[in-house]
Formats: sequence, structure tokens, C-alpha cells
Amino acid sequence: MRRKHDAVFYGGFVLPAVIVYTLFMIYPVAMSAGYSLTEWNGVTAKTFVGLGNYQELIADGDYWQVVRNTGQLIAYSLIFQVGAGLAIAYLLAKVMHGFRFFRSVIFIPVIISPVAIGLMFSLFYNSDTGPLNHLLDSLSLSSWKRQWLSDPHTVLKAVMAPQIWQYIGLYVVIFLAAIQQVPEELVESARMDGAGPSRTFFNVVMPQIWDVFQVCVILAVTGSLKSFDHAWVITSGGPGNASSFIALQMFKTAFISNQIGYGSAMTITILAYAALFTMLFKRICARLYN
Amino acid sequence: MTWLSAKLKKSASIVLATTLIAGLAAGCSNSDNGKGGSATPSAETSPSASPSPSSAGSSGDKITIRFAYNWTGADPKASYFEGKLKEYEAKHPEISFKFEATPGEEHRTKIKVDTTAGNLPDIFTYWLGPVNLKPLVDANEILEMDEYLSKSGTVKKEQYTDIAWSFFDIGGKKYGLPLEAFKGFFMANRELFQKYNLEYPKTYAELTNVAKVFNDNGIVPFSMGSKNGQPSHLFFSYLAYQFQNGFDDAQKIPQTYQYDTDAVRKAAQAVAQMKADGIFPSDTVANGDWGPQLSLYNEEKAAMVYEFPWMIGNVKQEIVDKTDLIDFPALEGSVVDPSSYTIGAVAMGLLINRKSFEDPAKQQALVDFADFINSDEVLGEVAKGGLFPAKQMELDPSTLSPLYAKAMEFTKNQNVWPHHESYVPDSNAYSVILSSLDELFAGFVSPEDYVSKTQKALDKAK
Repeated sequence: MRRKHDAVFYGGFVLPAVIVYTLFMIYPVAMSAGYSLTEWNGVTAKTFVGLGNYQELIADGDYWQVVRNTGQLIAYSLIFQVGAGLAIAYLLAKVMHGFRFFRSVIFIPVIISPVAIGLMFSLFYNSDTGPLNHLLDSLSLSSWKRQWLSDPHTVLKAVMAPQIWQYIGLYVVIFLAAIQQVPEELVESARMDGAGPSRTFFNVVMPQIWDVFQVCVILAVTGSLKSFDHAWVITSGGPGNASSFIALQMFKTAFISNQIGYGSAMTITILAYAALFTMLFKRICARLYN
Repeated sequence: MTWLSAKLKKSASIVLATTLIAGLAAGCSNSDNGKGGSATPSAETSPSASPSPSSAGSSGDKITIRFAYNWTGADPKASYFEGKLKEYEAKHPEISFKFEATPGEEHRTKIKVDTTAGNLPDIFTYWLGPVNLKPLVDANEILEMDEYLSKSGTVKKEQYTDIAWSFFDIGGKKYGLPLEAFKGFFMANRELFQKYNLEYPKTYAELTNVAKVFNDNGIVPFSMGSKNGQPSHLFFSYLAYQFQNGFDDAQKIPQTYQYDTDAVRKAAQAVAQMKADGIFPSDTVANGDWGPQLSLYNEEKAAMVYEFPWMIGNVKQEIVDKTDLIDFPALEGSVVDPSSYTIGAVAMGLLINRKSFEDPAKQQALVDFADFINSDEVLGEVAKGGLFPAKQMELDPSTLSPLYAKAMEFTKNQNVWPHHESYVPDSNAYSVILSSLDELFAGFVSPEDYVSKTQKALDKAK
């Protein structure tokens, strides 16, 4: 009786969160899944096509191009956001004076609107009037000059760079907080046992912040899967799909090409990739940890 | 006392949980606070009231009218138009206006999202052609204009040409009131040409010679970029129409679904050739879209530019003084005199939500408001910001920008030929045309691949 009473009592506390989660997460996803089984232009009646949209996706070269682009973004995010974020945080943890200043400065880009960052970089990259090529000229690096947004070899990286740069600070701050929680005695005793800096880092610090590391990897991957703002502002995903990502392609398909059903199928694939990655990654990490 | 404090804690917890749930319920309820409702990607601004998440309907005794438009933000027409809206709103306290302003192309996305959500505004501006209108017509969302005209006190069919009406014709019926017309014109910086002792080019060979001199001196010969097909799609149509049957073939697209024509192929080849000859900026994506394209010309880093009325207000005054309007050179193999025509159409019309019109409480207010938008008073005022009214009316030249007057004079005897968007019937196909233009201008695809890709998209839409 008491247990039932307690269950009702505790349920009351989680109910608001459940309602919010259902309304703003579960319900839209379910609706998207429903739309993905239809051919619909958003205005006239829906036509049920079953898995037809998914079959079309599999055969769609443009879709796989944006999947590859997104894959590259994920790879660079893991290296430069998570990897570099961790390295910078580790170094920053050792700074005695002014580390709060550096932490604040590193975090500033995170709080700026992605649209503003995208606009700034689109001006930056303009090979005719932008400062980047002029800077390369002044550094006697004229051979490095490119048409950054019109060159097939550079446009994707040019679009990825600002979004990767913008959020490095977020991971620095997260890792810094985690590293600062590592008991000093553990690090000291490792040093006293003759462990060098890298051994201390990998064998003492990393195991302590392993959970935080996993969360950051998942954040970086899922954030990359949702990437939209920078690419939209800088190039609209073009030329063609050269600098487009899955979320941007979904937007263009649904709201510019009026293919809500097909766009919803892309949305479900984003969800599937995120869920699959999270599951596999957690399993691998659990095995590694054991 | 321990059990009493435990009981008190439990009661306090229950009260807190109930308060949270009540707050959640209140927060999720329909209200006029903030920007609920339409999920537009850009900010909504309003001359007065905040946009309402609710669609049709009255609040209390007041009628609510939601009007969505895109003459806002950096658009030179914004201050003139929104000033008039404020005046009208002040004169009609019995109507609660919800102005939903979304700049540029984002307005198109906003209307699509609103339509999908079943939240179409009561009255809104929108673009021409079957690609934009047919889905709304098929869904029976928008009003046929004869119904509005039968109720209107001031707007008559004869005030617009048949050609203007044709841009909103779907299946023999008109679904939009023509609002904003446009005609393209080529501008050249006279001082830059004089500085390098150059004449305005009349042939392609002269254009390449002029281009070489400008490039050698760090000046872009012709500012033409392409970002999501803007503004290249208009220039591309202009090029295609220089060739045999270019315009005729475009007009037949709704029936033939044929974009791959000799004229389009030649235009694509001309673009590739111009890129190779350094006519365009080296980075057509970074210099794509309206603002960056004009910026090169405004900063005198480009000698020529292809512009349209909605950008007139953004041309610096000192640049207007140095600007001559010229004809684009004839391309090799062209048969149509490029000075004989310009790309033009009706860019925007006024559309009315059918359900809102059929609401007896709103109908007269909507008719009056639409009459107001299309009045000589409003159109004449907005012309100061560069509007070319689609309505046949007299404008006071003393109130217009000198460039406006120049452009009107220069194009008055030219045939006005609508661009391909007016004829392509499928939005996905047209979206492919636009994004593929980015690739063509950037040199990502060959002319043949561009034509083949775009034709495939149209074939799929058949």
C-alpha cells in the first residue's frame, strides 16, 4: 500500500518532465515517422507510400553525398572539438594565474549566434574582398589562396571550420570542470610513482573523466548530425550539395522542394544514426572500461 | 515531531509538484505572448503588435487580421511600406492586426511552413507562377480573385494588364492580385570605364577585352554570383533568351516539361565560357545573393552589375551618379538583339486565404485592407523605395530615386520576358535548377551536366 502510494507520489514529480518530453520529443518524432511513410507536399492530401521514401533515399546519390559530408563533419568534430577541447582543458587546468580569463575567452564564441558566425565567415572567405586571402598575401602565402566557397576542394572544409571552431569552448569548459574534480592525491601519487605527464593523463585522469568523455563524444556526434545554421548562412549547402549536411538537405527537401514526406524520411535517418551510434558507443565503452 | 515535519515536507512537495504542473499547463496554452505558432527561420518584426500564434478568429469584439509580407528588414521598401501599415492600423482600432514580416526568400519558407501547419495567414504577399501557387490552389487554400474583385470598392481588373494577371493564372483562374512588377537592367560604372579608357562592350569579344583590363587592375568586370540560384537564375534566363526559340521554349515548359533545349544549352556554355574568361567574380558563391553581388559594385570593385528594382534603394547615391544603364553584349551565336528585351514579370502578388474571406466577420475588413495595399497612395509611397507597381498608374517622378527613373526610361520600350521560374511547374525541379546554377557558375559541373541534371528533375516531375 505504501509502495503504491510512494509510486504515485514520485510519479507526480516526474509527470511534468514526462509531459514535456512526450509533447516536444516523442510526439513530433512519431508525427515525422508517420509523414515519412507518405508522399506529401505539405498542402494537399497525403498519399501513403509505405517505405517508398526510404527506398528512394537508398538510391539517392545526393543523400549519400550529404551523409558523407556529415560523416566528415563528425570526424573533424571529434578530433577538434572533443580532442582539442580535452587537450586545452588539461593544459588550462594547470594554469595558475588567469585561467578564469582564458576559460571565459575560449567560451565566448559558444554564446554568439551561429548565424552571426556564419555571416562573419562568409565575408571572411570572399576571395575577392575578404580578409583571408589578403592575410595570406601579407604572409607571403599567396599560393594558399583559394576561392574558398567556389572551390570543390575547399568549400566543405570552409563551411565546417566555423562550426567546429565555435563549439570548442563548450568542450573545454565541460572537460575543465571534470578534470578539476579529479582528486589531486591520485595525480600526486602517480607522479611520486614515476609516471610521466602522458601516463598520468591516460592512466589516472582519463579513467576519472571517462563518463564525461563519453557524453562529450555523443554530444559532438549528435550535434554534427543536426548541423544546419552555418552551412545555410554561408553557402545554403551549395554549390549543389557540396557543403550540405543531412539536416540542411532535409530542410531543403521539405520546405523548398515541398517534399515533406521525403524530408521526414531523412529526419528519421538522422534519428536512427544518432540512436545507433549512441547504443554502439556505450556498449564499446562499457567493454573497454571492463 | 519528526513525523509531523515529514508530513509537512510531503505536503509542501505535493504543492510544489501541483504548481509545476499548473505552470506547465499554462505555458502550453494558446496565448498572444511571444512568437508561438509558425516556425519561421528568421525573426519576425512588427510595426506594432506581436505575431499571434492563432490563425483566423477574433479576439473579443475585435477582428484579427494576420498579414504576412517580406518588404521588411534591409529591403529599401520596408520603411515606406511599414509606415503605411502603421497608419492604416492606427485608423482602424476595431481591427487587431498581426503583422508577420519575414525578409527575402525566408518569407516563402514561412508561408510553406504555415500552410503545412494549417496556419496560413489571412492575407499575404507571395511569388508568381505555378511552382509557387499550384500547391495552394490544389489545396483550395487561396481565394480566386474574381470573388475579391466583386467586393472591392476600388480595385478593378482593368487596372492591371492581361500579362500581369497571367502570372497568377492557374487553370484559367486568377489567384493573386499583382503587386510588384520588375524589369532587369544592366548598370555600368562610367568612371571605372573612363579610368581605363574603355568603351561599354557591345559584343562578346569586346566584353572579354574589357574583362582583361579590369582583371589586370583588380576590378571584377561583371558582378554576378549564384547562391541558391540568386541572382543568377534571372541572368541565366536573359542569356538563354538571346538564342533561337529561347523564350518560346520557356513559355512551353508547363506543357512540354522540356528545359533541355538548344537555347538553354548555349546559355550554359556561355556561362562556362564567361567564367573561364574571368567575366564573373572568382568566387561566385561568396558573391552570390543580392547583397554581396551589389556590394562589389557599390564598393567600386566591380564595373558592371545586373540589377532589379528591389535593389535600387541599396545603390549608394554616389554610385548612382556614376552609373549608366547599358545593354549586355550579344553572345556569339545569338539571334535576338539583347537590347530589345529585358527579364521581367510580376514578382509578388497579394493572396487572400479563402477560409478567412469566407468568414463573414472578416470579409469586409480583408477587402478593405487589400484595397488599401493596392491603392495608388500606398504603391506610390512604396515606389520611393524602388517598387515597380504592377498596377497601371502614374507615379510622381519627383519622389522617385534617379536610378528608378533611369531604369523605367531605359526599359520602357523593351519587351518584358518572364524568367524560367514563371513557367517551371514543379518546385522540386525548380529547386534543382537553382542549386545546379550554383554549380554551373562555380565551375563544379559542365554545361552538359547542368542541363542533363535539371532535365532529369523535370522528367521526374512529369
